[in-house]
Amino acid sequence: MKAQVEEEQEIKQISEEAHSPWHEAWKRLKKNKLAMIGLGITTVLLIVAIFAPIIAPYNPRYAPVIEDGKVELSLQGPSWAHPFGTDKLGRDIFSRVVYGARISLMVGLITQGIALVLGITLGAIAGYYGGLIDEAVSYLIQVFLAFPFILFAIAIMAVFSEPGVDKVFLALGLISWPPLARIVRGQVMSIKEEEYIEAAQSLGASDFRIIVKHVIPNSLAPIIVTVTLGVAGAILAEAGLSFLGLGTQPPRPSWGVMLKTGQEYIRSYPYMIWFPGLAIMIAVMGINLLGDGLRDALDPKMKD
Amino acid sequence: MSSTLLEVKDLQTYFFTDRGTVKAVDGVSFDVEKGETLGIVGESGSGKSVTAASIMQLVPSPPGDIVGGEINFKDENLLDLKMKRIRKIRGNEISMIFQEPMTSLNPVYTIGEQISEVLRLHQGLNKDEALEKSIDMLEKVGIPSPEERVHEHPHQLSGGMRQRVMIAMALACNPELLIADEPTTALDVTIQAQILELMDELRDEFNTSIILITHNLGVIAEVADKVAVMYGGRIVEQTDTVTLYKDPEHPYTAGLIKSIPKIEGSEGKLKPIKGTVPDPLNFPNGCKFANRCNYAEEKCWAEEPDLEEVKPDHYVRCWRWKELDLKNESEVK
Amino acid sequence: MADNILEVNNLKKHFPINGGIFKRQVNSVKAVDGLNFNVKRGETLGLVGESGCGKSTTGKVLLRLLDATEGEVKFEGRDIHKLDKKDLRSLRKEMQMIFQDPYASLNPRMTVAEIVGEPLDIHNLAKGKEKEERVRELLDMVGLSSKFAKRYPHEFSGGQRQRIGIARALAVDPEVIVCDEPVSALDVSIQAQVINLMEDLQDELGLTYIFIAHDLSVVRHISDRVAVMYLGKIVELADKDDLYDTPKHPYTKALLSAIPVPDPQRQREKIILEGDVPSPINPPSGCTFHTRCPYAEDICKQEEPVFEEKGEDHLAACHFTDKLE
Repeated sequence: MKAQVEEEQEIKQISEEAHSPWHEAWKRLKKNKLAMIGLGITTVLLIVAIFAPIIAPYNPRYAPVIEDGKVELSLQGPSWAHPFGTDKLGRDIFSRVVYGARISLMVGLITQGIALVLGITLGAIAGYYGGLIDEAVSYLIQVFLAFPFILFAIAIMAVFSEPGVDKVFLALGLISWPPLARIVRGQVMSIKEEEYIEAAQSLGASDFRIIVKHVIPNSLAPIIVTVTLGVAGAILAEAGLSFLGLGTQPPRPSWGVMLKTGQEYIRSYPYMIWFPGLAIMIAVMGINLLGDGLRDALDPKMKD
Repeated sequence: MSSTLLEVKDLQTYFFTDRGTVKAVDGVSFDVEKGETLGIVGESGSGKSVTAASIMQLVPSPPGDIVGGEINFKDENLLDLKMKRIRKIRGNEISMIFQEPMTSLNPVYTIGEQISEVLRLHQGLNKDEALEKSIDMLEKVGIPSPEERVHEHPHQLSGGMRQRVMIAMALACNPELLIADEPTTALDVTIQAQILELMDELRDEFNTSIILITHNLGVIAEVADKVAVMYGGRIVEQTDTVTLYKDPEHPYTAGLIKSIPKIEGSEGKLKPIKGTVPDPLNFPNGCKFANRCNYAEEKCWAEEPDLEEVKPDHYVRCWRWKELDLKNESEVK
Repeated sequence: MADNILEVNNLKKHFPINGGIFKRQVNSVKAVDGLNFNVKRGETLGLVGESGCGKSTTGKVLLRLLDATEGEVKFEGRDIHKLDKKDLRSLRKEMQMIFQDPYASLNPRMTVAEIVGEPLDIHNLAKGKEKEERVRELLDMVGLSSKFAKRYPHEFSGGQRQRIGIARALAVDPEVIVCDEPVSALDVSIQAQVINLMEDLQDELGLTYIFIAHDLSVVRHISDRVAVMYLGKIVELADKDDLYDTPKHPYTKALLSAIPVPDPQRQREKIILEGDVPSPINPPSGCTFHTRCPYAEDICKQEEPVFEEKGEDHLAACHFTDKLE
């Protein structure tokens, strides 16, 4: 058919290849320099965490044995052998920082994983059904948000008789969901009014299908942004808790733990604080930059 | 002619986007006489609204920029003026009404405050005088009990009422030129009829010149004296209203008129224009309409025709206007 | 009597307004307030009126996308507002909808194939290769190349998106399609394409349309019969030529005269109605149109006119039909 051939030409004119909304967002993200720096830092962080055993020259938990059963000297300054120096037990700080990335990232990902499940489920149900369910969930969100985040975490950790990194996952996960639930709820409430939801209803789609196939994919953008920023927040919170002795416990090489043990030597051996401190700063900044970049790139003004 | 109020000459407004330069308005020229209504018709992407925004110098920059041409209003070229002088002219000598009366009014001020602001700014009236004049204006545009309405906020009014308030505000300073960009598109037909009648009356009373921008051929037929048809940033046909509807010479104009169903009822199928308006960056190289035109030849694809005067005051941008008999849809006259 | 595919009796939809401390219902918006009409198999019934007259709500209640407050909608003799969940799901295969805004009615995160294929998934109509084949067939039917099945809606123009929406509605092979302002968001030159397509599909598939629109010219072109709504009620219903040529209700007459006609030489007597449509929360007493009607007398304020035959198959609700010459 002639008309059809012309129409094909027209669509070809518009775009040579198929562009999914995600593809377009990636193109926008690539143009954002700060976001790309953030992405770079986050990628390095991931690589370091995954390949920690290969990257770290020494065992992070024990001081390396030199000859004759003697161990490495403690409290060395940075050198070629120990680029970040050694701590009071003679452990290599560089190796500890490398392994610390593992803990930090795990805290970030696991807590956000818990928050994701809780937040999406509660937020989506509240937003989609409204009414009493919504009021109950909203009330719960309000209550959770009324407590300062870190104080809340401390309170929960205090309940456990023995602190540890697994409890940090749980505690931070349990209190990280409300912002996510609130965003999902708002998104669902506005997306619910969209005509394509009505279209799906008129096709006979079930509520479950509508939520999973239509509502959630369209609220993914703010969810991704919130989760990304949440990872940074969780890393910071874990460091804080560990610094207070309520989080990860020594000898596990968490950045917070390193800060805590390093603080005694802050005047004489400040490098013990510098490196874990710098690691926290760079990691949190990098992830936040990425999160902000994603927010701009995923802005759903995709119509034009 | 001495009574020419506005003369637009070879106006070019481009948008510089990431994907390339969009020539939204590309060499548009027209005159508006005193007391005359010029209709500009076109579909989305034709450049009709950008033309209006260019006259008021309201083109968002970046990405938009007026890159060439003249806009002579009375004795001045608006494009040469300082921003300060332009602000004096805006809302005073030239005013504009927009399609969406809700978003064009500020929701936190009463309508009286909003009309008064224009009057105090441009006419130097004091607060009481301005309010009194506001009530006058509201009465003129047919708002019942204006003494009470003047203290209401925009959300308390219906769509039709809000559009009347916009018109009252636009006319408050007795402008010589009123630019109306799709003023009735968001309104129902019975309200549209009220507003169109109102614009007609006001023109008779104040001798205001009007540029009416719309996609609705019916609205144009009712109020415009002459019409410019725009497509792809260009005027493709321009003449007086009666001739345009009776003897269109451009295939696009003829196609548009034929494609709309008639209220008196029509026989058989509608006759649509084929295809869709291309992406603004991908118009054909020759005649912008070539890919949708039933009569396009090799030449039409290769080279763009000029806007040619085919009869006194009837301009057409088409290579084949002489041969085509658009009325009988035949390629020979 | 011809075969009625839909029968609507005393249909009402009131939206409650809650207020006060205890969120009790204090009033209601009478969006649809007592409709009676039938739709014949294979015809196009036009439903016209101004914004706020309840025409879109009517469309949704007809499909039971909204529950009726009162009254019944019978599809092939069965009241759809009494169906249970399972039967309602299978009703969705019989009655479909085409939406106004081709930008908002397609999920931006789904490809064309996913959008058009969704109804096939929902009703288990086709899977795998068979589904692909059916999607191709549907796209072909609405004049879109299946080459673009993997594209996303934002890559298409308004007219093309509306074709996708039509293909989706056709996927379940419905009997009745409610079309809610299907062309009003499209450019003038594209409207005619979509209208022609809808007419072709109707001929080919024997569809019944309920065509909701505010553009009276478009409605005249596509409809067989037309109903005019004002404040939640049908004020006039007749064969389209009867209705447009000899309106029996002053509102219809005013509405018709208000349409700007693309013919500058035509002189017409225009009836300019004063004021706005009253609020559907507290509609006027008696005949709801009396506040704007040029013919209104005392009786119009007190007594609601009966919706009755004023000519052959020409129904209207007015005390003074005779005065409209």
